Amino acid sequence: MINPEYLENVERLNAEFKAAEPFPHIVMKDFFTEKIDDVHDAVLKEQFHEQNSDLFQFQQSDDCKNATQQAVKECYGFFGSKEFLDFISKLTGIAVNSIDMSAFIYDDTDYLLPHDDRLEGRKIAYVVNLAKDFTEKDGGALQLFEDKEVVKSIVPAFNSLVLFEVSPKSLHQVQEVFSDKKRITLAGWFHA
Amino acid sequence: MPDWLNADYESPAKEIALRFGEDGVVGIMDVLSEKGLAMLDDVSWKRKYEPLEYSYSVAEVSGKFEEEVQAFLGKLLGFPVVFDLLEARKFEQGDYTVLTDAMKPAEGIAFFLELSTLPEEGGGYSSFVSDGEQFRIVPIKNALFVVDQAGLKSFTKYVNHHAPNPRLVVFGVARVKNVI
Repeated sequence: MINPEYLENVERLNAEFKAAEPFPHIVMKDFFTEKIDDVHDAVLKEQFHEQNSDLFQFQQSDDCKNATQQAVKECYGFFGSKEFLDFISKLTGIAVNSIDMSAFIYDDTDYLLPHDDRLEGRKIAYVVNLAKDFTEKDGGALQLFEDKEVVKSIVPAFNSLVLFEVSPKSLHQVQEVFSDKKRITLAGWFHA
Repeated sequence: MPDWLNADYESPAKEIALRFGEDGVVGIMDVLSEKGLAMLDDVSWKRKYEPLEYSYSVAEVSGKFEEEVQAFLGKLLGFPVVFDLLEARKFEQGDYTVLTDAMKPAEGIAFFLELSTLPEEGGGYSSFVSDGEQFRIVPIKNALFVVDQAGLKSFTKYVNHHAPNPRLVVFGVARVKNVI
């Protein structure tokens, strides 16, 4: 299911993850070799709830452990499997043993303002991008801060997996979506 | 009478004070004169940016203006007030304020003298919360909103890319002036 390019080069990925600036992270494109289109379609059939506050505006599904769609259930099960948790632990150098996962849809004008994700137990944040055909001008980029400035923008690319270490340095935001495209993701945290 | 004030408000109706007393929030329209509407045309804006807390621009107001606003607000509410803060604020696309963990429920009277109109769907409105959102102040050009914000927290909703113009507002926090 995972692109063998990644499975066979965990040490190199670990070096890349640790060396990344402004804080440890990695973007792995074409991450899954199969079923990702099924997951995309299944996510859109899940129930979403409007989330609107000072800090954010988007739609969020229930926790994917309660997913109604088989492909989403399987994805949740795979992320929480020992095999995948071991892969993530090796890749990041941080031992993780459980996950949580929700699906998100950001429509035009939706956003998530700067925050650092810190909460007890959260070690690695992840985003599975299921958005199609996003370009820089569509917004919706995952943006990483150094001090008060955005120093890296990760434009959502379909079938990419983004990981970053949760720490006092991990200030990030989801840029406002500037178009009618839907920024669809599965996202959550690996815990320890 | 200050030259920025609409002459109709030289002697404000008593109903305004009564409404504020009953509801804790009051809004009045057409507050400014032509000169008043242009008061922020030539001000010098300074950026305020702390990613986890706020993003907007501020401009100082003169001491004379503050005294005049203080006197006007006191007349409007029927009791003397003194400002702890009075400044002009500009919220452009991408600007916001958020609630923080360290933020305590506010005290005093919040003052919003609006210099531009912003449709609600563009963001930029002030949201007052206490165990959920209680009400919003949506900017209407030439309106004044006064809020008894005791026990409330507030934030300015992120201004999105559909906002046709910035929110321009003279914002203040006042308290009742103790008169012995």
